[in-house]
Amino acid sequence: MKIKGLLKNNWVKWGIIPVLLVGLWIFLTFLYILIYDQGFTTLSYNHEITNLILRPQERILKGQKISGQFVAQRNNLGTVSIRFKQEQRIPWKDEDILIFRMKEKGAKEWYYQNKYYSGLTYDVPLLPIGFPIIHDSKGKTYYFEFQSTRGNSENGLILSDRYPILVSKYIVDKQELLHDPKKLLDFLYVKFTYSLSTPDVLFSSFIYLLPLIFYILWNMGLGEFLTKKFGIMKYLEKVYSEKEKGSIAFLFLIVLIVMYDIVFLQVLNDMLYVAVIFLWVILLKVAKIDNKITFFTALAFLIIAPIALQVDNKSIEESAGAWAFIFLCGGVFVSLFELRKEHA
Amino acid sequence: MIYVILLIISFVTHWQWTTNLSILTSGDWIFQYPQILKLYLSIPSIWSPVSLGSINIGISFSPFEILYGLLSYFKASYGLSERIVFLWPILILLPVSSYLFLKKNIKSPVAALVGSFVYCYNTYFFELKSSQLTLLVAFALFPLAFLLYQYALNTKKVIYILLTAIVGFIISFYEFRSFYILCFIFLFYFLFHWFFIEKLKNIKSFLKTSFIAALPIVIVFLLNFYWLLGLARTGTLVSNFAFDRSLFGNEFLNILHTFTLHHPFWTGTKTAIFVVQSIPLYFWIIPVVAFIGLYLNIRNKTMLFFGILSLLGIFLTKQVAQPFPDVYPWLFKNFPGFNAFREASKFYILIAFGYSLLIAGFIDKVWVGLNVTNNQKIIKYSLTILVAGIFLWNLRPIIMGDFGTLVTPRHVPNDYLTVKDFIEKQPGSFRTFWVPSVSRWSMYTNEKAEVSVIDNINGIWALFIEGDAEKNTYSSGQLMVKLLQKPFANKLLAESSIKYVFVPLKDTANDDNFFEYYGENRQYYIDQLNKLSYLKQVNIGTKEIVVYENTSFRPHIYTTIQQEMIKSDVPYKRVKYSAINPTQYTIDLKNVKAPLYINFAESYHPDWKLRVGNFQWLDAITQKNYFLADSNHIQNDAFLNSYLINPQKICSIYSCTENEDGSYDMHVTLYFQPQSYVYLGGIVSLATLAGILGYFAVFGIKKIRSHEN
Repeated sequence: MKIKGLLKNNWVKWGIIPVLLVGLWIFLTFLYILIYDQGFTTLSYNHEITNLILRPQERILKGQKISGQFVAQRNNLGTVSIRFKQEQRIPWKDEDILIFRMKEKGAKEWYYQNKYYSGLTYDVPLLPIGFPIIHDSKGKTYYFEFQSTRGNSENGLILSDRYPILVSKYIVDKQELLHDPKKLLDFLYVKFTYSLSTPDVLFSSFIYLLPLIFYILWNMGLGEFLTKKFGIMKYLEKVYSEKEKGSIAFLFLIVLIVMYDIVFLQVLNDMLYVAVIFLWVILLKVAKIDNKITFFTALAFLIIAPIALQVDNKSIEESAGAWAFIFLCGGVFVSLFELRKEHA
Repeated sequence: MIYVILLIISFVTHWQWTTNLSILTSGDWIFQYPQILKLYLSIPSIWSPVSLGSINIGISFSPFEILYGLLSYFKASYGLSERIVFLWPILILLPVSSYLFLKKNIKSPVAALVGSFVYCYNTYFFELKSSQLTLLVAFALFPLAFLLYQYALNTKKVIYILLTAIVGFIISFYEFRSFYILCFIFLFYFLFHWFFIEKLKNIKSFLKTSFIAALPIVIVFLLNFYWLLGLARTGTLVSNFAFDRSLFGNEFLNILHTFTLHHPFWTGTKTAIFVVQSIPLYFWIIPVVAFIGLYLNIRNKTMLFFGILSLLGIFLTKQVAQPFPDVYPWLFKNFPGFNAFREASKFYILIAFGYSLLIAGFIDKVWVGLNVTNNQKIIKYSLTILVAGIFLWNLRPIIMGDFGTLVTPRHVPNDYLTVKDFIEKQPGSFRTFWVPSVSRWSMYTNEKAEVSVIDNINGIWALFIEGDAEKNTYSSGQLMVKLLQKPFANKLLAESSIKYVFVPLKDTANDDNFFEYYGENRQYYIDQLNKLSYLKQVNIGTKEIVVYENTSFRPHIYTTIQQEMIKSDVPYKRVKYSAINPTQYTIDLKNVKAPLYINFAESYHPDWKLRVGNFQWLDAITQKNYFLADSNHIQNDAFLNSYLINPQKICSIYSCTENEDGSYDMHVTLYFQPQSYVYLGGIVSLATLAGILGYFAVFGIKKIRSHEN
């Protein structure tokens, strides 16, 4: 009762809770940016697909290569990342070995070259290729190529068609940031804004923002309005009570977001699973919606997997399977919670 | 009646296991001559003389090995023995144990029958049938063990606790890793029982239930004490070659295969080892039906528990696939015991076990809900046949014989029988050396151990070819030959007591051509061995198997005046010794005047101790300075044991016989000290077993009396 009373206090309702949710959004977004960038002091710049000169559409077979060039945006260029499609893992001894080479445009000698196993691309959004930092890189054009030495129809990598395909990364001096608050703020701003231009980060960040959005919409009574406005399957009105209908719109939005991830993005972010299912469970509990919707949603995702199998899309298959698993876990968790509550 | 139907299906479909006594061997499922099996009829030994000798991490298998020994003692053939110890128990226990469990948790017999099909005929268990029968027997007992555990927690009766422990013990000696998984199922079920079923509200009842929950596991540990204590003392329990291997098979498993209970190597006919297969569309019916079953029975607590179990199984078995790909590697690295699961497929058992009840729950609801109109009845029967059919269809390759592996009878090639006779007739103790690898048909005994070159260049002899291996340009076969061409190879083989070198057959008739794994054909090895001057080709009557004799081989135990070295020719002297068992040898040294070295051709281990004088196993672990000081125990450059014996110094401490000429006679015992812990632990295990059997006897007598009254 005390908690309920507290939640009705306007300061708490429109002040503290939204601020906490904004904090959560910033924190989780920043956490994912750090994971995505593989380091705090790294700045990532996305390049357009037109930066690629040679861009094989199919598997990169033995002797074939990807090549491209880009203008370094800052000094201390240290990594180039390339996005490949997620494929079924194969034994490491059968993997392709690719040679990466890079030099400043016009230079005779390669600045850096090394061999990479194709298996490094598994479960990594973009394959990072590190090299000795180029301190005076800003404004210079760099040419690179990534050549297959034993690619075939089984192990050959396929370039992704998802933006960004090419990313250059720059290291910022940590000491410099720590000693100059202005530079630190500038760095944080640049890091945040540039990262948000990446769909994976933007999508994850949007998910992390959903609790705040739903919270505000819920308290403004917009959930019920949206349900009615868009007439989300009229039969729902028969199935669910007036109170439940309010949050159905939110659940429907979550399903759409997950579907978008399954079909288009396949973002590899574990925190995303946690955030979505947590939000889903909270919505179920707050609106007292029957848990059966969780199981139905899980089964719907599960059925997408064999459909994707028919069109031979491994990424969609695995993403649908992963989401089905997460929703089944959510459904079981809520059932356990309800069972315990019944006994209490 | 249903039990009879289940057994008939089981026995008829596996007709190769039931209508003849042929030899069945494939992959890791090795064949052993009855003469070898008879050796198992002895006290478990913590040192294995196989190859160059090593700690016997398979000591936990001793109970079924003793059974093998007993059957061989009574002249049972290998075919009959493997059927009694493995194949027939699998055919009986899988359906009976699963049906019994399902019938107690689901009222509908038809639903329990379909659930039993799920458990018995899923693709993972068929893959186990291709070579991992130890696991399969253990898994066959899982439902029974769980059912007894349920009874134990619900009734709190001692009889169920002890029965759970006995079944748990059988599971543990068939495959201890499966018992590890079972312990966690028990733990999770206990927690579930505590929170959701019994709802324990006071400390006293909680403690009582906790005690009952833990007791079966404690008893199983006591019954296994005979090897746990010994392995713990050697440090092998937490670190051994099996546990220290890195994670394997990340490319094989993903969440789709685990959801559908589809083993990645399942082709529908013969297993395609290490070749990931696509999932047939109809396999997707399995998870859909299972989780609808869960949803329809969500108020059933046991069903909910099995839903959790299935999800846990799906999560673990997918290994490093999405979602949360880092969890399995973390568990593998940090969670105690998890490093025994270098690939996650063993967790398929959780899915199979979970799905069996969930799908049974689905069928149960279908039979209850669709039972009024004719159309409903048609749907009911159709769904039941569809679901049962998915699993029964998996039996097709077993019935047709396409499955190969352990449903195809094998025959020992005549050449191997010739080799067997030859080895048996040879006097003394020596080793045989197989290039590139031992065959499943090669003969060995404790005194005439077989050595596989491939195992040794990947193990104890890896250092000898380190330079060549690092070049990464040689095939495994070439590396083996490189080793044998080393200037010290002759001495290495001699010190290792290797007398005969064999090039085995390319056994395509038995689907066992292992030459293809090592990059070179059979003739390559013969050509290269022919060039080695220290090997002399001998004719023992084989047609194809090529045999060489290493005439300079040295006995298993001998003495030298200088320290033994593979890079110099040190003269040696034979000594009189006898092998009591693989962990204990006695040596009689006569007229020892000057310091000498005893060389013992077993791979070096600091726990090989040397005692001068009378020997008692208990004294070996209770008395200080019972053995010769460790400073006298040397690992020679062949990675074998040497001991420095200084008669004057030793005989001032230990009991020797001094001769008139001032020399000494010594009675020496070479002993692998951890074996004493096996004896000590064995007493604990036997006492526990006696206690349990005593209780059963008293309980039985009481029951009979009360029945008579």
